[in-house]
Amino acid sequence: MARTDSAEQVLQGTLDLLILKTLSLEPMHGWGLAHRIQALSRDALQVGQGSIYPAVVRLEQRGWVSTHWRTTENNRRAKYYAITSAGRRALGQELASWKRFVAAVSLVMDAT
Amino acid sequence: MRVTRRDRARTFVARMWESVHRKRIMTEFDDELRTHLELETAYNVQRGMTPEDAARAAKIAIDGAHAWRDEVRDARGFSVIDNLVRDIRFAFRQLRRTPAFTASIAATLAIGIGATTAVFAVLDSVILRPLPYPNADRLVGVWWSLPGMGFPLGPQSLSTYFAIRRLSHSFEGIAAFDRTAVNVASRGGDERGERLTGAATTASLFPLLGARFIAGRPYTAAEDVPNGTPVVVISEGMWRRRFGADPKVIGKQLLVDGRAHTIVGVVASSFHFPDDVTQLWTPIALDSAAAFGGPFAHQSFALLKPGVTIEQARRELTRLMPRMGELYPDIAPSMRLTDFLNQAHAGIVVHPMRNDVVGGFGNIALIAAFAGVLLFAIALANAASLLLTRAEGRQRELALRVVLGASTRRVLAQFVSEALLLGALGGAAGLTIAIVGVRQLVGAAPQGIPRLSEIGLHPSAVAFAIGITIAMAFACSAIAWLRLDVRNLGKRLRDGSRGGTAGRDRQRARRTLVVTQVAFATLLVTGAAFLLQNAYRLRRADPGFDASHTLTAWISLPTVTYPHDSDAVHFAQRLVTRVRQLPGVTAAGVSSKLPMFGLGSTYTPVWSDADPGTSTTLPPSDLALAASDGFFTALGIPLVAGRDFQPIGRQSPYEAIIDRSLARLYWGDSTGARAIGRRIRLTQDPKSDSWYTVIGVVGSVADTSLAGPTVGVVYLPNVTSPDTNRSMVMRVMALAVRSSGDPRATRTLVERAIADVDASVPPFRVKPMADVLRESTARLWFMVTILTTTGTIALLLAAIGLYGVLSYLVSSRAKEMSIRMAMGALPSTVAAFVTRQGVAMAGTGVVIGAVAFLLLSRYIESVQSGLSRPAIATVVAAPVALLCITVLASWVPARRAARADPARALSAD
Repeated sequence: MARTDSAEQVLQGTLDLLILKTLSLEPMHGWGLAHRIQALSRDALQVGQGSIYPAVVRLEQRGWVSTHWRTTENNRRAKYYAITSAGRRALGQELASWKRFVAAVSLVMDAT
Repeated sequence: MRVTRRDRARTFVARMWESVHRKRIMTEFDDELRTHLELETAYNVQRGMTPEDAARAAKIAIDGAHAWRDEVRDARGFSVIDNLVRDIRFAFRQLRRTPAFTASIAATLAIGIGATTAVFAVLDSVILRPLPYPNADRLVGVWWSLPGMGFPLGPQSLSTYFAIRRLSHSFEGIAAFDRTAVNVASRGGDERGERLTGAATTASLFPLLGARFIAGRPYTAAEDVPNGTPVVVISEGMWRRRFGADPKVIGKQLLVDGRAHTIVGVVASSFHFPDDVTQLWTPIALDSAAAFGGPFAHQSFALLKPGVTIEQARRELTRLMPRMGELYPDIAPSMRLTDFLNQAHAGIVVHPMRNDVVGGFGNIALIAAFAGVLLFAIALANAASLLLTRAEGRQRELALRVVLGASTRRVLAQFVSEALLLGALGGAAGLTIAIVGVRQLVGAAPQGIPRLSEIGLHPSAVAFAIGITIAMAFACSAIAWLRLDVRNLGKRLRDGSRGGTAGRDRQRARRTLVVTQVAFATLLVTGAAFLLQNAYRLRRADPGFDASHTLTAWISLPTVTYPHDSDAVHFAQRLVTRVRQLPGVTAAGVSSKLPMFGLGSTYTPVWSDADPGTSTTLPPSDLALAASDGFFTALGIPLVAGRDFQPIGRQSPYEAIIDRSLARLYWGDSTGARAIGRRIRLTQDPKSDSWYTVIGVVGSVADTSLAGPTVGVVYLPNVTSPDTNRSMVMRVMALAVRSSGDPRATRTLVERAIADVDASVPPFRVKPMADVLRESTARLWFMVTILTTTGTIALLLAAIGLYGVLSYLVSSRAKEMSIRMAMGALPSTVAAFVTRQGVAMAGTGVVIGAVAFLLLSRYIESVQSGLSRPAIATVVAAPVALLCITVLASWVPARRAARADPARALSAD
């Protein structure tokens, strides 16, 4: 039970990171977000389209993402998600520690 | 991603908000899903699919849109709310299915919560809430302790007041005041005046208390001087009542004790000082240039400077004591302040002003709080044991649910929601009981309960009620939960056992709860019996006078219409003569004071010719009163030696009557015979021949309390004398009238007689002496009422608790008893067995309660003087009565057990 919890948490954390990173480029609606992430990870992460929604709810409740309804370029009403300044801060911190982690791993790898 | 505590907090708040709007949010999500579906379809069409294929593909892509929806619901945190709603609905259905159980537990909770909240509301209003003045936390009462004179708490003398005002640096300001009662009439109006409670205060009082004026201003220091302009401040209530809220009332004249006073201010109705009934304030006009410091007669309080503690102020004043004697050497002719303070072993007392306001209410409060806590504990124990019984009945159902996969958390949530629902029912009813209870309590409160107008259910009391409701709900469900051992329910069900040992444990838990209830109930009932014993003792106590046929009335003579002392004496003479002519009246007289009522108390040292006249030590203080002939007969005070005064107008200023206790004290003769012809005096001033000859000795009377020690009394003639020391003329006098019949019947006659003599002086406090006597023990009776009421409720609850437990015992052991009866046990043996169980529990509780009472009564004796020791009858009677009631409570289940049909019980399972 505990193991699945933490595995889930890692997956959730990665998804959150991807969403924030994607939204930091431009605001997007749910469908766009799902496709962009699938494209970005080249389907490697196997993120179902539906997993986007609980994830953005979490981010919204933390105040990292804001939402508003507006029309798409094709004149459809859609709910758009945008990153907030608090969200940018969280993303910045996470990216920094991610880079540190990658650097540490490559140090170890290069040493062998 | 790293989630900080702040993010979590934000999430929590967002969820709270969203859960309120969850319907709208989920509709919005449905819209979002629809858009998603449309976009996906359009995308697929764009990629070259036929619209039908595209739509199908889109549907597959977002397959299980319902699953998305559920995930979003979970992410939003709505499932918790939904579960809660479901639990509460379930609990509601459960409770409705067993209305009798629901009603009994809700009633138990309601009684417990109601009574406790009512008690809390009163204590909160009177004691806990800050006094209704700004800076209330810095207001302190400034007193003397004069143990050498027999006064634990003495007010200020004029000299000490001015000395503290001048010398001390601890205070932002200090104020002094006297309580007064005045006759009030409008200028030029010919209506009968009215008698009102007032206060004479220093000008500093209003700013210190932050009094808000709705018109005009407080009086100034310039007006608060001897022979200053007569001014008066009136209350908003008086302004509305007497002046019809006249906006131009400022500057109008008001006759206060016959003298015209200018109204300078109207103070807002929120201002009460020194008590709720005070309606007008006049300058006290203390003379800072007086030759003598005067008696210790003015109550005072001060506002501490910010940062100064009570202890610092007390130490500073103690340090200043020697210098006070330098500023004002003498308090009276040939009585030095320093000598007086030394002999009285004087000390300074500084304490929060709240103590002065709350005063003797403290003891009542303590007892009420104690009763409230006990009642709460009993109700809690009762509710817990009822819930436990019910939970056991559902043991199988619960076990089944646990086995089928319900988490223990969900089962616990069910317990709690059921208890909370019961709590809500009981709490709502309890709050209603509290509102009614507070009103009843205020209605039953004796005169002089402080801050009576502020008593009510304040928000803090409502919060208290909600708090104890929730606490009770959780405590009850926790007890049931722990005792049921839900975690192992499933295991026990699988094992097929019925939980033998655990069952015994639970029996013990329930027994403990019952024993606790009975013990607490015993404590309350015995306490009530103890107070009742004291109250009856006081009712039977001999006050030293005979109140049965005497009517009393007070009269106050204004200086304007009675400018000279001789006028006042003349009034008294005419009044007594007129009243004696009334039909049925057998005796009448006047005095400056009535026993058992505080008005007119003046204490003074009394020297006797038995004392060789050492000028350095003060003799004990005694009450010095003025009295006329006939007063003793009218009040039924026996004349034990000598004779009564001469009739008013022919009284000799050189004669005095003393009471028996003084005769014994000075001349060692309680028959009084040896005191006749001896001499006493109230001053040592060598300049005047101040001796009085004792012409009579009367019986001692209880003066302040029937239980307390008696004080010596010197009765002086109501005469004018060229020697001012000897002039004891009454301007405020009590009339005592003895008649052959009911004293109430003479009331109209007496009032008319007073009007015949002078229609402009309204008599006040016209009532039979028996009522005066009864009022003196009103506080004790109030306490008795509180304790008997709570004791009765406690008894009822304990009986219900015992009944519930025995009923359960009978039903759970029906099989065993049936076997016994099938084997030939007599029904009476079975009934005796059940009754024995009940008596054993009740007996244990009663013994514990009685022992607790005996221990507690020692403490009470140390706190409250004047109580007699608990009589053996008291200690035994209440528990025996309790035991009888518990036997009755166990009799019904016992009979049910005895009547059970063995065949049916055995085949039931």
